[in-house]
Amino acid sequence: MILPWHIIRLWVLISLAALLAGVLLVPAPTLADEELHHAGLVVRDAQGRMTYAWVPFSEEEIDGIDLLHRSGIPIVTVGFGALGEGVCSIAGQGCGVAECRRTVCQASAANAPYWQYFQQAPSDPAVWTWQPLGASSSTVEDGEVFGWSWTAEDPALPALPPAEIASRAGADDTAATEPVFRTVSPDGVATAVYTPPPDGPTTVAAAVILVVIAGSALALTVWRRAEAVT
Amino acid sequence: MSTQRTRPLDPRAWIIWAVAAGLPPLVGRNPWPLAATLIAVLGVWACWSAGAAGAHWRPLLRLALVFGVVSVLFNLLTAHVGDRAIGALPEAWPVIGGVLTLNALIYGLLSAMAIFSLVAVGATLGVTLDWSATMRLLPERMAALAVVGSVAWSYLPRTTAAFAEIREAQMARGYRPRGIRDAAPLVIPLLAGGLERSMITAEALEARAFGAPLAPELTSRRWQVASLLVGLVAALTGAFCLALGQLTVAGGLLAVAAASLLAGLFIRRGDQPHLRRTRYRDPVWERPEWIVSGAALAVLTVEIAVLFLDPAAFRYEPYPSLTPPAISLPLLAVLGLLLAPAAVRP
Repeated sequence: MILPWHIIRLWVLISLAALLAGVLLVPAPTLADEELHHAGLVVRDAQGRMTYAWVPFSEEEIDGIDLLHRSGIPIVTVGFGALGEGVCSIAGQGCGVAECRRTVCQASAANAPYWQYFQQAPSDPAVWTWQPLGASSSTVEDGEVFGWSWTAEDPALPALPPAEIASRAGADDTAATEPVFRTVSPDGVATAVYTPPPDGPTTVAAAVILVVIAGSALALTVWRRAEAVT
Repeated sequence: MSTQRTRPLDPRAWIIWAVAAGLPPLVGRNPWPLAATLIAVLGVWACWSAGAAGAHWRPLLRLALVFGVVSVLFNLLTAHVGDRAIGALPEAWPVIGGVLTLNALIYGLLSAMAIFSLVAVGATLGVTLDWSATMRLLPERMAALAVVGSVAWSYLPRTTAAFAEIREAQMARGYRPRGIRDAAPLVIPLLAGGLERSMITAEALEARAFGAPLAPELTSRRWQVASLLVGLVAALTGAFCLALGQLTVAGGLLAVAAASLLAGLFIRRGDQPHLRRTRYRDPVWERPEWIVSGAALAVLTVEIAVLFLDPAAFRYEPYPSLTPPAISLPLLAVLGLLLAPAAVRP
C-alpha cells in the first residue's frame, strides 16, 4: 500500500517540528550544576613582562584560543578558515590585523619573533613543549597550563606549578569561579603604557581643518562649474 | 556657453599630485588623513570631471563603492575581534561564525574609504592625463610599453561606455533585467564587442609597424637586455621586501634596480645610433603646473617626514579595543593643499 503524498508530507513536518522542539526545549545546563575545570596561562612578552591567568571552564575540554579569550587578557586573533585562528597580538604585543592576515606577525628574518605556543608538561613544570599545530588545534583540559612567548628562540617561560600560577594570577585558590589575570614586570621594565588619546582641543582643531578642506572643495567646485556655464 | 578652452595640465604635475594623494590610503588606516585626502581628491575630481570624459569614468567610482561595501561586509563577517560586540552568528558556521564587532565594522569602513580614495585618484588621472604627452615623458626604449599601457588604460572607459550603450539598446528591445541569469544579453555582446575592438586596435598598431623588428644597429645589445632584466627582477624583489617591512634589503634592491634600469635604458655605445623622437608641440610648463607640482611636493615632503617621525598619524588599528586615532594637525592642514589642481586654470 502506498501512502498518499499529503500524509507523508504531514508526517515529515510533524517529525521535524518534534525534533526542533526537542532541541529547543531541553534546558541548558547551568554553571552551578556542573563541576568547574581550571587551566593556567602564562604569557611572556618581548620585554620579559609576565602575565599569569587562571581560567575556569565548565566544559570537559576547550581549545587554546578559547582559553585565551576567556582569560580576559586583551588579544587580537584572525580567522584562517579550517586552519583555525591565528594570534596577532596579546596584551598589546604583536601586530595589527592587516599584517597578521599576511604574515601572522612573523617577519621574514630568521630571528624575527612571533607568538609561539607551548604546553607545560604535567609531570615537570620546567618542561615546556612547543605546539606546532597552534592554539585552535590544541585541547585544554582540567589542570593543564599553556604558555605564549613572543620570541624566536628560547621561550623563557617559568617553571611554576599550576597552584603558583593561579596565585600569581590573583586567584584566591585553584577553585576560582571567575577568570583572573595579572601582569608582572621585571625590574627595570616599565608597565605597558598605551598612547594617550588626543585631547578635546586637538580633536576640535582637526575637525575644523576637515570642514575647511570640505568647504574649500565645495566652493571651488561651484566656482569652476559656474565658470564653465558662463 | 564659453568658447574658451582650457588646455590640460602637464602630466608630470598630475603624476606628482597622484603620488602625494595616494600615499595616505596606501600606508595606513587613520581616519583623519584618509578623510582629508578623500575630500580633497573628490574636490579635484568634481572640478575636472565635467563632460564626456568624466561620464566614462563615473561607473568606475560606482564600482569602487560596491567593492567598498563588500570590503565592509567581509571584514565584519571574518574579523571576530574587538571589545564592542554588536551581534553574533552561530559558531558552527565556518569562517563567518562568531561575534560581530563594531571594531571590525569600523576597520572595514576605513578600508573602504582607502579603496575609494585610490580609485578616485586613478579616475581623476584617467580624466585629466594627456596620454600622448605622458608617453613622451618615458624613455624611447619604453615607448612600446607605454603604448601597451595606454591602450590597456583606455579600455576601462571604453568598456563602461560600451556597456551603457548595449544596455540602452537591449532595453529599447524590451529587455528588463530581473536576476543574475538576465546578465547574458548584456555580457555576451560586451565580450564580443571587446574582442572586436581588440582586433581593430591590433590591426591599427600592426599597420603602423608597432612591434616590428628594429634595424640591427638599433636593436638592444645583450648587456642592455640583461641589465633591464636584472633591474626588473630587483625592482619586484625590492617591492616584495618593502611589503614585508625589510626596509634595508628593500632599499638596497631598489637602488640596484634603479642603477640597472638607468644603465639599460640610457647608456649606449658611441657608434650606436640614437633613436630620436620628434615633437609637433612642445610641452607647456607654466604657473598652474608650478602651483600644482609645488603644492604636491610640499604635501609629499610633509607626509614622508610624518611617516618617519610620527607613524601613528597615518596608522590606526581599532583592535582589540576601540580607541580614538592619533591626530597630526600639520599633516591634516597640509593635505588641504591637494586641492591645488581644483584652484588653477591652465
